Amino acid sequence: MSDPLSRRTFLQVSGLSLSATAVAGCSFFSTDAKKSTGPAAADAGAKESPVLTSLVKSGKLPPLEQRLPKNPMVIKPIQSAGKYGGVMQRGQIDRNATQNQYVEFAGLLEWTPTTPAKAGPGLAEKWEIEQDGKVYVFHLREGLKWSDGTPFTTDDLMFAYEKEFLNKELNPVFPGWLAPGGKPGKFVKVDDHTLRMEFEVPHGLLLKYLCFIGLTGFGSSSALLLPAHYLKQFHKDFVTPAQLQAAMKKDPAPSWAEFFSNKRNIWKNADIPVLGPWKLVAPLQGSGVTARLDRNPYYWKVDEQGRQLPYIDSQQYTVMPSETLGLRAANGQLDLQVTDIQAEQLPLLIKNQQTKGYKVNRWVAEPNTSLQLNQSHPDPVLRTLFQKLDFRAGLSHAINRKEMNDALFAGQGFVRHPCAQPEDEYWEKGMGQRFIEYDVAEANKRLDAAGLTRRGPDGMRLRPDGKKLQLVGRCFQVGVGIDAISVLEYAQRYWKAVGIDMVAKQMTPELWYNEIPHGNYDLVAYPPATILWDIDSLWYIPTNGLTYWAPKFGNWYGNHKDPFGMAPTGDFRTLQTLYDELVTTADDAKRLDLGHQILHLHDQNVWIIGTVGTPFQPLIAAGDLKNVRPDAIASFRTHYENASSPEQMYFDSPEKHS
Amino acid sequence: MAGYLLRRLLAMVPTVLLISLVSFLIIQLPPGDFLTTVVAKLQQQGQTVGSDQLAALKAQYALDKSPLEQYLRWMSNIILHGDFGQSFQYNKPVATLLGERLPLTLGLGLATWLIGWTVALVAGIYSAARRYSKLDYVITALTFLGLAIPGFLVALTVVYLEFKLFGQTLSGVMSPEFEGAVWNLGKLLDVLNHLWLPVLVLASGGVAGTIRVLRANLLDELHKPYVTAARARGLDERKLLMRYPTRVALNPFIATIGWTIPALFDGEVLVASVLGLETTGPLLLNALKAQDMYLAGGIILIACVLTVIGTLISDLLLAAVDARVRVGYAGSGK
Repeated sequence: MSDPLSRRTFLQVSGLSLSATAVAGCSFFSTDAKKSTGPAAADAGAKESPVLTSLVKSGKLPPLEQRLPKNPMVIKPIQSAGKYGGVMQRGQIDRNATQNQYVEFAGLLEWTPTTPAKAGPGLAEKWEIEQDGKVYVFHLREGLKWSDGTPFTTDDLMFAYEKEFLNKELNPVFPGWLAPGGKPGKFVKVDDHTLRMEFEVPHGLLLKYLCFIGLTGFGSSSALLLPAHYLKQFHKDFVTPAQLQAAMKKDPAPSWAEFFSNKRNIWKNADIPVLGPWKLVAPLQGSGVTARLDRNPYYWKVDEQGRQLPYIDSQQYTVMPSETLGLRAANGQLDLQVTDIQAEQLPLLIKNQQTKGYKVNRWVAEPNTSLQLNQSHPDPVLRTLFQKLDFRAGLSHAINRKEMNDALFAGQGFVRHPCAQPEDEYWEKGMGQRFIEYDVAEANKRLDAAGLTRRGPDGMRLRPDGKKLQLVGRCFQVGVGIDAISVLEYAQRYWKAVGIDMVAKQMTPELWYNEIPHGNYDLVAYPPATILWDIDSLWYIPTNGLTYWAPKFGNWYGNHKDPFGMAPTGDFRTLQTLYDELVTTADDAKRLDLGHQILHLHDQNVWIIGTVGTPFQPLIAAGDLKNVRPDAIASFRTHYENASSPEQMYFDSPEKHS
Repeated sequence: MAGYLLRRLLAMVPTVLLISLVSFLIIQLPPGDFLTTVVAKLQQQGQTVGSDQLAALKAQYALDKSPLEQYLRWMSNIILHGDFGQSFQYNKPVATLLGERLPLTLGLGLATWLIGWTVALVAGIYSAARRYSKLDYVITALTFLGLAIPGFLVALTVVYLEFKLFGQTLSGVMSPEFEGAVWNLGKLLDVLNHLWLPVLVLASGGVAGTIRVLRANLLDELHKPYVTAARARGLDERKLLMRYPTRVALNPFIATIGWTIPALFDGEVLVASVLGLETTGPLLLNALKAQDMYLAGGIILIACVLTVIGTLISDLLLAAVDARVRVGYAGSGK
């Protein structure tokens, strides 16, 4: 493998020979950026980072034994025990997106670093399930501390339950993940380290829900791990209105609820204590483009020799446009990157990995940008048409997936309708293969059978009621996989050949989230989730307005009186009742069976017409970054790079990453 | 002159109000508002928002009022309290957001303007005085290229070439390792190394136009009798050029100074987006896309006010340098 030093040498040489850019090789003028990490020399036996040792020596931090819990969580490094030190360079496209949430995450339970990921111990070292899944008892590790040194106890969890979940301003509706079958659960404090969660019906997915950042992370409105001692000063129930107003004057927000959620934003507020391996110390400011995270001196995980994790001292996030991010990655300037790497940049990334000293790991990807007809279309004629299996089969047969695969992924992509995927526990071999062959004759036969026999003067098919049939396909730039608009453009061409007229329309994400949940559209192109979909129900079961293939049925599920809702019938309703049952089933075998029934319905009905799936998700890692999983699943549900536990990653030459 | 100035100042008030009203209404035109996005996000997290909660949220953001009422509220807050409203997207006061972005925006704008004009004036005068010389042809060719190629394309190309040839990626204001570092020679050089590109790209488009117009104007003037007369008196050729025809040829630029001020403020949207510069341009673009109306409105309003002020400055400067305009003012003042 090439030495990462060569990049620097290369810079210097090019700087010398070309005066225009000579200033870039700043080391010429011995004017390096300040070094923030200490030497990693005394590493071998050290139980903590040298940065922390010096803080302990100067009396600013208690010794390690007092910072770790009685029974710290032991992590077996993926390759080898590491060295302390280094700053990890990261990138992101969106100023507001919090890629840092993945590496700041800690959970009552956490995913095991396996495929498939399972719920494993975290802050809670063990748990019992009582009364057939109606009661869960969690035992927290004793001596856990927030990043500011304050103990983390059951009281913090009770604060989340009493002051957040039950507060109508913060959570107008009690969090769904704590209300199986629509019946809100209850927290009961047993002692400082024991918490009971009680439900009226068995809760089948609670353990998995607790691992999922989308439901319990800081970004969610139903975050579970809130530092009560810190947040109390901003909570209505603990301070007088005058105090609150004074605090809000310093940090204006339109309402108290917004103010509170700003205060617990781990991307903007560097003061909030966390439980994860790193914490924000310098947020993005003004027109600056970088934010910095430092190690949490109280982190509660150690390696097998009892050395405190994380190994790496800091992370630095730089906000930049997508093209620049790709170039920086291809230049070896990003030390770890999964998200925001666009599929289009793959060739450049693969080509440069030898010369620029980074590696590209091929993780399992989810994205399979699919065509989703609105089964709950407001127009009854189109709704009836869309609900005919022959119609969907005809559209599917008309798509030349081989051509798409060759053009987009050099033939490496997978061809399937989304019905989970091989890495998911509900997956069954052979699913998602109906109507997948490219067969124009069969497509025409199916479309005729769906009642589209009449054609207009332009040769295109007419609606069953004789009107002109024109479908509008919508999409926006999702940021994973291939650009959805190109999928729509392929479909447009293929469908034209069988007499179906479709126009493609790209929208901004903001307008997308305005319009789409109302459900007044024909079809969209979007990549659905295919692993751990049971904890993120909307992909296969119409449970809300973002169930793209049946948004109005989803709205009805949440609220029967929703103005944008529509009562589902037949199989659509069956999906919802099956899911209600799945959530409230404690028996794993029965739960798997219910999941299979849901997927079978999708397999038979092809409500989501798959195209071609991304062959892999590139993970960019610096050449000397160790303990990176060669293969894992890159998914929001397993928290992207967190699937490889960044706290146990280390740089072989930390001094080069300062 | 004083009377003229006063009348101009008074006329500015309704102009600005009218522009602000129109821009506010245009921002309101697209269907939906930021609140729908908020609701959709809640739904995405598995929550359903009831109609009473929706009403409460609407009242909180004053979205239940008519657009005119929202406008009046917005304007009176600006005038009375200097409060531009709240950005929904960033959850911060608009004034704070603008304050954060202004130093870089104005610094970049001024640098671009100064460098652009210096280059343009020298090149334009040279090109006219030495018409059809070799260098004139070179300048002409370059200006046509500069006019024809959009700035963001130049920016993209230069960024890619930098990567390809020198293994660097230039974007932002400084390299990540220098952010938060103490100022030293290294940091200064690093910032300069990042800023030459945007300044060059931003200046290139404007420079080309300025050179062409200056060249044409100057060529018109060079053969007028007053130039011949001055030359006949034995005035040094260089002095002659600078003292008479150039001054006259500059008139159109002074008259358009007013437009460069708002251009400093929002003119570099595309280039700044491509280069990852966090100035007010990309802020406006995002605000419009997200229907963050107080933020977009605030930026547009400021740009309008700056245009009006700039036009006034142009008129005054024009009067200062050109006697013909001054005489016109004197007449109108009576």
